[in-house]
Amino acid sequence: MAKISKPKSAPAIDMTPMVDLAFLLVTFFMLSANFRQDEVVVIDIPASISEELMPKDFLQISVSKQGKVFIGFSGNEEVKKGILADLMEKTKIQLTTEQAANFVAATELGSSFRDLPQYLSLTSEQRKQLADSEDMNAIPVDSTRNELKTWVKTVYEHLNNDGKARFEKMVAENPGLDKKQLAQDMKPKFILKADKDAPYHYVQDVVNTFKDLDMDTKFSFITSMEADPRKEK
Amino acid sequence: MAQIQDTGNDSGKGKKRPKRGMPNVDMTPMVDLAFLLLTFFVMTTTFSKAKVMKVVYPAKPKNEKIIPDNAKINNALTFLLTKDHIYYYDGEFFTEGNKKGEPATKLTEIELSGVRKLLADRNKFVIDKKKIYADQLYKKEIADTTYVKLMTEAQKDQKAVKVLIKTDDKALTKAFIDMIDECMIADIGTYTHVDINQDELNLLNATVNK
Repeated sequence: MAKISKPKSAPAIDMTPMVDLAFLLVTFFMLSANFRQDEVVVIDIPASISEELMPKDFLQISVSKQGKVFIGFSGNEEVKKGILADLMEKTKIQLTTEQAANFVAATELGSSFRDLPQYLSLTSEQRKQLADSEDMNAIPVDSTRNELKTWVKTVYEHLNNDGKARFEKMVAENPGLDKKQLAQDMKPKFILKADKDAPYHYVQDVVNTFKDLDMDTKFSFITSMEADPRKEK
Repeated sequence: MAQIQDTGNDSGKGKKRPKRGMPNVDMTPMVDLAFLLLTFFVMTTTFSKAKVMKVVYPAKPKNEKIIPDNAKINNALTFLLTKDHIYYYDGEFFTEGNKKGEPATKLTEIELSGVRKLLADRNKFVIDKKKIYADQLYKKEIADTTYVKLMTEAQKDQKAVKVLIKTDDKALTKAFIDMIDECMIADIGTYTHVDINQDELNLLNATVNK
């Protein structure tokens, strides 16, 4: 009779080094991560050699490939609520509590004032779809109906006041600071995020809106980094 | 190792106990967890922080009459951008049959790759100065602030080239950004976007369609 051979047990693999490795990588990614922001509209930014970092206080206008205009801004919940209240008063739009909460939570908005309540009721997924669609629902910038003007004026006012309040608070707390530099830092900066394939005249329309408002015409374009040929030596 | 080490008192005196099976800790679920976390972080991370490039646009003139034209700008180089093409002309713009009797301006086509050399040649004044100042800075003969001041002075000099960028309706943002980028590479101090005028637009269209 043939002997019944005992089933061999599966070779045990020691998983410990693998755990070590995996956690090492996890730690690395955790520490180096800065999370991707939820983008309403996908914008393929151009490249430049500039090494300047994104400012903390900003008013950002995005111009998509099809020339749709979106607005986004910094500021805490208080500031955003203030902006909304002001906008509601100026444009006579009515929002529900839920829509108002969505306004505060949104990173970027692109809708005419008339459609804003409806737009705010959409989920962020639906807003993304709307931004990708051919439907020209975005902030109107044309000369007959330039709603961006109202947006920019209102948002800038609130951000600027907030910046000034924080500046005064900081100066009161630490009198030794460089006031001139600090005041400059606290001022909201204008950021343009334009798709590299967007026709440039759409960007110019946005710039002209700022000019018409007699605002500062210093803009910062968001760009991805490119090697500087001057340093290749 | 995953096995718990037995550091029992099996050395020395006393009866040697029969070796018990060491408790084996199975690490596989932990690996699963670690890789799950790893995947999450890999997917959500963006490494590069957003960079910004400054462009200062000319402010709206208070009085329509004082729009600066190229004639008043010393040593200006004007680039006209349209879809897939870059043209430039030097100095002042002259229309056909102008009062000054100058020959009409002709546009020269240039590739983006050629722009760098053109600007470097034209801005030689500033680039040479920069070399001298950078050398002095390196040898610590001048301070950082002095260097910045001297560079700004050089860039504002009459001999330094100024770049005007004009676009038509078909120009893409990428072309504009690339042009600004080239200006930065060539250390040009004054560069901006100016609205295109009708004469230039006509000439541009005529040149493109040729």
